[in-house]
Amino acid sequence: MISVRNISKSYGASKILKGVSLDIKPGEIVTLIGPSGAGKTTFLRTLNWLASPDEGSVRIGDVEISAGHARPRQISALRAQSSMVFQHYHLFHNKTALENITESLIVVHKKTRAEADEIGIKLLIKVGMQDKMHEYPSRLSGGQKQRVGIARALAVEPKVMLFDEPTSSLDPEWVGEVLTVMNQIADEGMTMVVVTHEMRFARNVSKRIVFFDDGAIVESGAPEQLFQNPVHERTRQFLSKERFD
Amino acid sequence: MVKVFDLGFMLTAIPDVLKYLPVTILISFGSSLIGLVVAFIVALIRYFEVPVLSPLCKLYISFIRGTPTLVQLFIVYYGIPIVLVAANQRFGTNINVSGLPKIIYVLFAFALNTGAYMSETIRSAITSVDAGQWEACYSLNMNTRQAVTRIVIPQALTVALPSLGNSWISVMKDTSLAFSIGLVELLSAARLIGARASRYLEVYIDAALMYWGVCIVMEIVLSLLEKRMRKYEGRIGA
Repeated sequence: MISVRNISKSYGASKILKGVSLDIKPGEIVTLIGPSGAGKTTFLRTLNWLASPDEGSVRIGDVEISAGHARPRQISALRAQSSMVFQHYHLFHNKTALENITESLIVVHKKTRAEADEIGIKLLIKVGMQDKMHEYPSRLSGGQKQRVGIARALAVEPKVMLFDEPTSSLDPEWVGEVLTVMNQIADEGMTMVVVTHEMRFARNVSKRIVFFDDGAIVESGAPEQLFQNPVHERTRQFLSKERFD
Repeated sequence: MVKVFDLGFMLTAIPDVLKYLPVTILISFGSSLIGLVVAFIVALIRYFEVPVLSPLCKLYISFIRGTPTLVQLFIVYYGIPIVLVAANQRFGTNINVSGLPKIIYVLFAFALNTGAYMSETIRSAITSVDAGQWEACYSLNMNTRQAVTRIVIPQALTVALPSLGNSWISVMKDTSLAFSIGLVELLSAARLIGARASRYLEVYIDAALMYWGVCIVMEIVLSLLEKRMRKYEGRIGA
């Protein structure tokens, strides 16, 4: 489903990604964990070319782009494969919850407003936000915003959903409701790549955990293996500081 | 005995002066609307740092800011006919230069003037839109044009509205400069009416009250519009 080869990315003098490769199978749920600044988020952002890598290539489905040769048409084709849920939601401030979902359906996917509304309402029901569909994001709690963010990302029928620390900005009381929605999507067989500090999700939902440090993948494996028998000392150190409750 | 101040004349002159208020309003709205289009184009060129055009726009803004509005009006009024005559000679076109109404020059000059100021307002408003809004657009595969027109500009306009309103008020007051090229608008009408009775102060006060009145009405309209545009900003929760 996803095949990433040798991705490198620098911002100025600091090298954020140092030749990262990763393959992800259809339906697989992969969590990316690691200390802040390890390059997890940047890696995730190269998957839809929000961050364009300096070297390497990304393939999702049958769309492949190599760094340095990316044409707008290819970038658009790559982005059509995935959708993203952001740490800070990034809901469109000037659109209601429902309009946040229907916007791309109407302007990108050329659906009629009626078709888009039907999809939007269905998804809002799915994430339990149908009561707030005409509210603007400023009137929603963090957890509600993120559930709309997930509904918006689901609406475009992506092959892969990318989650960039979806619960990190939330007050603890809202984390549960967002995780519930994510578990539900996982149960439906969606391919998910999740950057998270939420070790419960990593352990209970994901099929594979990838530990990043210093711009590279240190090790990866099934949750029970990685949590119970990490091979590398750095992984062990990192996990010893994380909470699992 | 000569009256120091003729209140009666001031009041009776009002209808005559008022007849020219539409000219002032037409110039201020017309040039603001054209200026707004100019401003959007210039702001986007500057925001995306379009090669060649962006430095040219910067030059244009610098020139407009650094020269008096009256001088700009004179340059347009005396410059455009020369350009048009030269164009007629060179390309064999047949534009009736002397037939161009003065209001065209005035609209053009003020549009260029206010467009420069408004473009800076709009550019900074676009810059103020959170980068996450762009990212959300791109992640949903919207292109830059869709992101700009559907998400970024509507949010930027809300931010820019108070400043744009101020620009409009400036233009509205600057329209009084149009009398210097002989266009009869509110101020020059007042002067002509005052000249007939040799009473100037009264009519100038009439004119001032009318400018002020229009300004107050506009401020009310703008604040209603702003409230409407900010409806999505009401805050509850985090």
